[in-house]
Amino acid sequence: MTSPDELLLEVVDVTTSFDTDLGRLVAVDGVSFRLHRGETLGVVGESGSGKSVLARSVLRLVGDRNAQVTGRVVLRGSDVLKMPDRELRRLRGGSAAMIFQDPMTALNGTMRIGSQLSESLREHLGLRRRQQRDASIELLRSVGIPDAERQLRSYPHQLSGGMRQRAMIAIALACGPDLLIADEPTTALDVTMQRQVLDLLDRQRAERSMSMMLITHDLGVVAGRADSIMVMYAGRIVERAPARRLFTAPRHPYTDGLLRSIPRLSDEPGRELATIPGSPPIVIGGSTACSFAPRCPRAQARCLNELPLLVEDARTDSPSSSDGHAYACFYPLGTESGDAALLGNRRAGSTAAGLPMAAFGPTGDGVPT
Amino acid sequence: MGNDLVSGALSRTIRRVPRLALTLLAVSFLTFMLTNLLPGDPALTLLGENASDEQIEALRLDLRLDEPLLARYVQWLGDAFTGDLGTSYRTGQPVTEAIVERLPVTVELGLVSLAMSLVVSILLAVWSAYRAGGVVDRFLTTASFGLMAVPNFLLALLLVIVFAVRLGWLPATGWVRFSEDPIGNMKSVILPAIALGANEVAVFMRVLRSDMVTTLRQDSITMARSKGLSTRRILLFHAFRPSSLSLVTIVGVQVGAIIGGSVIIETMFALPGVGRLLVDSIAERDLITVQGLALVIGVSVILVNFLTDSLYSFIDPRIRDGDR
Repeated sequence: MTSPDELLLEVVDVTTSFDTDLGRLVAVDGVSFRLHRGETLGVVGESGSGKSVLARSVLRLVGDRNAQVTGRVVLRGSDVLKMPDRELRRLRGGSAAMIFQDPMTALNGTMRIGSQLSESLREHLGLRRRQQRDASIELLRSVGIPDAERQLRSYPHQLSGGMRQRAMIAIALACGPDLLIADEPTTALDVTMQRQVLDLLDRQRAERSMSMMLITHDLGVVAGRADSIMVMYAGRIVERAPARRLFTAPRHPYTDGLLRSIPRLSDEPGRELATIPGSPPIVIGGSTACSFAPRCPRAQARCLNELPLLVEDARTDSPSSSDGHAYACFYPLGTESGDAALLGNRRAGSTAAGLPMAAFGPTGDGVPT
Repeated sequence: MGNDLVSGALSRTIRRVPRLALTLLAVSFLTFMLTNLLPGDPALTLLGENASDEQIEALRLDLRLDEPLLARYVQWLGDAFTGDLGTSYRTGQPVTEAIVERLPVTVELGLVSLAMSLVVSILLAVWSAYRAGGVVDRFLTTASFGLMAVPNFLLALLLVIVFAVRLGWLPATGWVRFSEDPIGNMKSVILPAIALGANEVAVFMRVLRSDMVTTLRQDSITMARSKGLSTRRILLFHAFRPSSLSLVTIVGVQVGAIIGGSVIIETMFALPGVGRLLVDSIAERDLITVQGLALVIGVSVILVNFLTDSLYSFIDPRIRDGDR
């Protein structure tokens, strides 16, 4: 049996870039993290933050011929980025699987659900036709699809949105993966369905002692489900922390902005929702400064000239743990220098990047006046 | 549940039959009008300047030219339904018989040509799309534009010069029946089929390649790859089938082009097919035969397109459920 602390996935300094006409577009920039068996890692960021490219890089699924992935992705002891194609094919769908945002486009619309299940079972487990059928029915039942036997013969478009997502989960789980990468698994679903699907994923993870990378733009999705959370911005990790800690004591102004933009029932009616002004940049040629500075209420001259690296939070209870709280910011929340930077910008009326403080709205800049 | 594929596709096909019937009717009417829209007296046109007055009068009676147009059309259509397309005034041979004699040659030429161009274009398109932007893809794109620009009669000449005259591998002209000598038959069909299908290779390849490139970018392909499937399986089951709708449409449309091309190719290779018959009939002003051929060709093109349209529902189940 495997110990609960077994390290399943170790990602070291992964950088994914694309050759474009504008230059080298860096979508994922030096990302490192570790994932233990049975754990859920939430990866949070806006569209364009590089989280989906990171997910695909882990399974070497970045399809673009102009793409280059460097670094190390060690899954159960072997480096995914260096393994031969044959071994890679055994790994994909075998010990690591992936689900996508929209099952309508991710499932093959011209193949029956049953065939899409059994092709994995045949490929990886070498099951015979009869066994494939039995295993497929079992899988569909386990993800809560009623009348499983009949649904084997259905095409994806004949199922409802929630059932389609369940079917995709069943297909991903077919060969009992150790790692499930879920890329925005609930974004295409309505709110009630979201909860059901997230609960299903969590139950499957627990039953199979599987590890999960849960990728989302919505901090609400990972709240209460992820053991630790990684916040990405412009291809880099800007903050990483155990989930509870990230929600209660965020350090990075970007994390703080994301948390503030979640509506709460306790908010007084009519209160304006905080937003982060602007949108994420496209990074060409690699970062030399803080990519968030142009949108940050705390931005100082240093942020525009120097790249903040990920540092461990001195407040972390167990500083030796690599999975503790870390952030990449020169003027973080809850520090003297950070508060001073914010107050200075407020007094000056604009940030060092030239953004007027009024752009953050009455409460959006981090600290109550 | 098991036969829903067939029954769904079938019911969709049956629903389209009335429109098919209407199209066929329109085509038959236009074909019939062919002889009547020509300026001057049809009887005179048919018989030529040197005919005597009695001959012309006899033909007028035979063609029922004094009856109303519609009555004559109904009569003609009724005859056509029973397989009677009239009798050629030039050869005295029933038109139906002349067509039936020659049809197997053209059908074989067309089918061999279509099959060869489909096999070649599908292989090249899949390869090209899989390695989109690569050397092979760029070469094939350029080559296909070049191929589209080469008229089939020029290609026919080149093929004859190389394979018949220089190398002597294949006959330059003539036709051997399959029932007489299967190998000789294949030899006599191969050069005309290549000349006829080369343009189609370029057309099919371009259409399929561009659809494949789009499909290969979709999440369903990333999903298929994340399942650890082999490249061959992904290309065949997950990329080719959803990408083949436009190809099927184009094949239907190009059947018309193939029939048109066969007129030239059959003449150049001296093949006794309907294309050749059409050329001869036009040259001899044999309007009855031309009319019969026009009807047969028009109806075939419409039926082929009806069939390719029906294929959609087999390729993509969403179409037969009315989702797309």
